[in-house]
Amino acid sequence: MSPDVFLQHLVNGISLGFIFGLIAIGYTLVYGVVKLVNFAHGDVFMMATFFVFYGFTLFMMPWWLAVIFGIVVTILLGVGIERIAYRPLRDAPRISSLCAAIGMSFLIQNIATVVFGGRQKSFYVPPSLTTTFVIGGVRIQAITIATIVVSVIVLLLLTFLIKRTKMGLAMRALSVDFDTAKLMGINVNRTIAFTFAIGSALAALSAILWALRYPQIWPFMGVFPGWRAFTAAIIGGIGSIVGALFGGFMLGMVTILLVAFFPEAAGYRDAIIFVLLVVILLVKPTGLFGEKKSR
Amino acid sequence: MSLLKLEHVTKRFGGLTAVSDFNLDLQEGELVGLIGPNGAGKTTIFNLITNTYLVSEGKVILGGKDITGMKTDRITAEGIARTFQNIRLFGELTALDNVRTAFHLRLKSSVLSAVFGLPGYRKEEKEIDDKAMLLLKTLGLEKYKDDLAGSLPYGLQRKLEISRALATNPKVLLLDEPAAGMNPEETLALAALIMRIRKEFNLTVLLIEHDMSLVMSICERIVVLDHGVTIARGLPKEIQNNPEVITAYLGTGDLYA
Repeated sequence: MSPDVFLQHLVNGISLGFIFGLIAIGYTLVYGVVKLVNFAHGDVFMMATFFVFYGFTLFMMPWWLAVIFGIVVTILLGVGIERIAYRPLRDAPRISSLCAAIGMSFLIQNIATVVFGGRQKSFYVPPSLTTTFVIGGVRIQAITIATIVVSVIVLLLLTFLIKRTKMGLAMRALSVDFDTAKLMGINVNRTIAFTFAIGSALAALSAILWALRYPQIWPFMGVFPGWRAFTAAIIGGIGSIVGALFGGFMLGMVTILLVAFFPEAAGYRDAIIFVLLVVILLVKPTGLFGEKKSR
Repeated sequence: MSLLKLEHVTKRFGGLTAVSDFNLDLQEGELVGLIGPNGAGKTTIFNLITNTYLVSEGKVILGGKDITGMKTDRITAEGIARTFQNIRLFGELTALDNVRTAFHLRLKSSVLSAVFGLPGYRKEEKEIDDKAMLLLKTLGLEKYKDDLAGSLPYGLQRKLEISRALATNPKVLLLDEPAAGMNPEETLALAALIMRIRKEFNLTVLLIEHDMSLVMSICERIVVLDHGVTIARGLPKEIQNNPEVITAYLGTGDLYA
């Protein structure tokens, strides 16, 4: 394989890694604060693409507006799910909310099938994003570069939000100790709703980037990216944002490089990813960046 | 003037009555001690005041306002802060961030203004950093501001908990065994510290403590609990000589053991 082609795969891997990373951060952020694996995350991801799709085709919005519309409605959906399905169970045993999350996932998939239909739909990709650049023999699509740029901006914003704002501080306090946080005057419901809003916004963004890359959308499209991103979050150490991003990168690279170097083994992609997961957990049970148990 | 009033407060856990018909009238500026053997229900009373436990019967009144059953973060906003017997700092946050969390309810700027770094937000962040640092300084913790709270030595963690509680701008401070695990010199220093912050921050203090030298030296009034029942109340001197207290709690040994 020539260096050019390798570089091309590398850039592709980075771009896909960012997408997985963004979805994985959605899982890890919610888990870090509420200690709940939000299994409906992949389906919120799927819904985002439909919101953009219908914003664009049905409501005749300009494309950029449809994207903003999609993100906003996805945030409302995510916060709504927390409000009706998870909040009432917050003081119940953890297994109850886990079941609620799995149920929510099936519910959304099936409602989507009924309302949107099960057939694949084409997601509109603006022509400017399909342009291909040739830089020193490396062919790169505009969407690949856009994905990397958008992801970096989002990650910087997220870091700032968590490290430097009062909401971020409240989220960090909640992740350590609910009761003490309340005694510090932190409004738990509002902070958790905010966490879900951020998680859903990340799901929406990554979904749009995903759909621009693979422009076919259907009600079960969130299942595999969701599972892979969840795996990425576990590999990185659930609760750790850096870990989720790193895990996402790892999976992005594995996915792309496997297809590049061993095309005949491409069908074993998911099997290889899960073997990787098992091996990493055997060596480091809390994941690569996982912290020791705090309570 | 009466600041914090507990009227006929009762707490039942299933068949067990942890606190029964507890009454307390805390006057503004007072320092009252709450003592009793282990399991007497002292910490339960703190948890009832902050609504960490739901009151079964009775009322909690702060400055004439009924706060029974109010959400915990609202009660904090109304002006009640506490520390814990088993220290409950946010161990993975720095000392400074621990104090900053407690400024949360006094912040005004929105997330949007934070993300865009608007001047109002920056000014507010600066103010909070300054105030948090000032509080750390008051308790002599400024050196440790960037250390993780969980890595600090025990005595400093206790002090950090107090400065975090002070950051919520309380009227009433509930201290749960602040001298636990301290040697006599440290306890003496703690007594001075409590007296100082009480004056500096205009506090009314309710103190749970097992160290009798501390309780007797700084408390103006003492309430004694045993098995959830108030068995005595009065001046330190009266409590020391109360036969019922001596048998129930202090035993027959030396009071200043």
